[in-house]
Amino acid sequence: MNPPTIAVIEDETPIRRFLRASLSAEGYRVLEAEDAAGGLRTITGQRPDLVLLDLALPDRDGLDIIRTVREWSAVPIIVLSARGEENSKITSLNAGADDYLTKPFGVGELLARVRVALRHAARINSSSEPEETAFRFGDVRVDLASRIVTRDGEEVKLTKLEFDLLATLVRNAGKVLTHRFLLEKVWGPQAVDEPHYVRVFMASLRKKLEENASRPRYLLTEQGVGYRLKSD
Amino acid sequence: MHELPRPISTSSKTVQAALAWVGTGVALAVATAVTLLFEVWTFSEANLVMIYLAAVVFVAVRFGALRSTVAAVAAVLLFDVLFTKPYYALTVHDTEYLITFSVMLAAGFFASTLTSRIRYQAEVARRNQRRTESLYRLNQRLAAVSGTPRLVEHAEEAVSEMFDAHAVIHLVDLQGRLRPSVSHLASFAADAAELSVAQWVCRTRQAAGLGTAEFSNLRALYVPLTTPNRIIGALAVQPEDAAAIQTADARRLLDTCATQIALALERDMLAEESQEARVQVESEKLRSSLLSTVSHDLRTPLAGIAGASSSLAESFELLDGATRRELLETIGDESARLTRLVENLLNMTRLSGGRIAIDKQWHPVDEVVGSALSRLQQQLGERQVDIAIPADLPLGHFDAVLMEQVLINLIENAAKYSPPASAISIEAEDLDDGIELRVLDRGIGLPPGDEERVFERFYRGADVRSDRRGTGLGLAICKAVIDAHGGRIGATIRQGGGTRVWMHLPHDGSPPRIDMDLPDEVTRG
Repeated sequence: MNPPTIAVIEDETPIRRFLRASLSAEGYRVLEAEDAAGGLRTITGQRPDLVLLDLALPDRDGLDIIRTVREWSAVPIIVLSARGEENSKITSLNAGADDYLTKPFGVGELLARVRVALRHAARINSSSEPEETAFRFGDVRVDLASRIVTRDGEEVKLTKLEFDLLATLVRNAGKVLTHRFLLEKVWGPQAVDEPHYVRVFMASLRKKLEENASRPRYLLTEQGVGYRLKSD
Repeated sequence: MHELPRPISTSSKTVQAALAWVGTGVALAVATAVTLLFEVWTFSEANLVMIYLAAVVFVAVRFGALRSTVAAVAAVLLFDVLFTKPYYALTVHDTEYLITFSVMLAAGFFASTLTSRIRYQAEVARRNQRRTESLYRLNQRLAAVSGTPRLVEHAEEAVSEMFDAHAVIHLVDLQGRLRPSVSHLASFAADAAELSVAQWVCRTRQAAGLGTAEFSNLRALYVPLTTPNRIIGALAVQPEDAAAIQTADARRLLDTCATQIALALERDMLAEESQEARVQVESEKLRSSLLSTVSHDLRTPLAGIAGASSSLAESFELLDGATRRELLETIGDESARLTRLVENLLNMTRLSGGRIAIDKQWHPVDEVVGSALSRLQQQLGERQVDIAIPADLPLGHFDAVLMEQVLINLIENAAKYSPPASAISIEAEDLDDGIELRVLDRGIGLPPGDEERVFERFYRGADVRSDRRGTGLGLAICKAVIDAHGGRIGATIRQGGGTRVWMHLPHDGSPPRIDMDLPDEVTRG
């Protein structure tokens, strides 16, 4: 099987160089583009398996690329953005990006996000493969089919909403999920403007499933954006 | 509150006149009755006529010159007919009556003139007093507030009450451009024609509109708000009763009000302008000290990164594995330091520029504590952190991204200034009027007397080792963020040694109710 191809669309040469070095070292094939026009050509012409996209490009807003690509492709897109730009992160996630990395980021973080995104895409593409129903993090085991959650082998009683929230996180393990996405999935579209619902239920999930609810290791907060279930 | 006597309407005037005539009649009737009574005791005519004289003087005092003249004529006639021979006949046979008649007329005239003069003087005094009172009240209201919008609002209300009118104030800026009033009373003043009159008034510094030579077709009167130094704006008054504001008295009072309002506004504007000038000087000073501190603090980690990477590049083969790793770690650590510095700088400029909109939402406090700690994972390492947050702590209303930055700065400080083996504590408590968050350490503590100064920009403890240096921006940002939330922040020396930083976030309305659901039936196997 060919190694996955990753398109890097980034105008800053040092960052492109660092991305190429670390991704190649992991065995990925890397395509590079330094502006939006070149990036779109690369995506349409070479059909990469994943796109790393800087939002601030010299010729066009990276958001445009996400929207254009999403019209005809479901290729995973990971956005590169800076801290303090939470709104643009949310906008790009809503526009169809799969995840983001906050600059500056380390190689470990980069590779973890890339793996999660590729795994997700693979699962969606091979729809024939039945969805895995059991998931583990730490000493917690979640069975989506039987709706049973155990911790250290002991069953943990969750409310319906808590379970639905956990199930949504589990199905998207490793990916950042916005408040809006979670509200829509668990509470329904009428609740999208009540982000404190997610926060409060998240807090109670942490109390039941994390060793130390104040310093969670799996149910992580992406401040200003949403939540992520860390998959190990 | 109607401060001016409203002009009496025509119908009530007729009623009053009729009553005066009736009063005159009654006075004469009473005089006649008394005279008849005294005549029984056969008083002399000269004395009897005195009773009529008294009645005429009474009418003069109460009902004025016209009625006292009529009363004098009537009295002479009545006296002649009733009390002089031949009785019940009108014969002026004695010239003495001419004298009686003249005296009565003269007495009535003098009495009525004197009375009306006194009455006029009393009226003037009353008006003056009312004017002084309303001006005094206006002054008091203007003195009680500061800030142009509040002053304008109070002045508009005061003038509206005083003149029984809608009053609005349009200000002009230093370039002479009109800034239309935003008052709720301004409905009449909002259209373009009215505003152009206001603009005209400001330009020419002359009154216009109702009762003036210019634009007299308008229903509102515009007077300029001027001081000897500048034009402040225009006061537009649209009275309920158009006549009331056109009397000389009302116009004088309105002009005086305009002067006072103008002076009050000028005083306030001057204060604001000098405040702005001070802020500008302050921010110039700030900018230069920021530049010098920042350029130093940026250069230090950059020097580390440049040095470490160049030695790796040039002597890679000569260095052993451990040294290479050490140099690489230096690059990593220094980069992280640079990142934090840049983030703090960015937040500071955003907050102090007032350009950042605070996005307050309801959050569980432990979540933001947790996310701050997870971002500090690298710096904290195995450091012991004790967290005491009550399970029933209400949700807090804050901007979580900024609050996370505050906690990061505080926890990082606590870690930096205390021994690695000591624990850091994070506590939260629900107080009556808000949530208190505390970060405590067992470190070197604060220099006594510096409890306030630590929150100033660029403050640094005096004898801090250079490798612990920051820009001194961290705590200043904390204060800026907490201020922006309407809260308070402070630092004290901790009992038993160390520093205790506390933040008080006011309860900001009541937290939203969350409907928790019942345990999931399906999970009960």
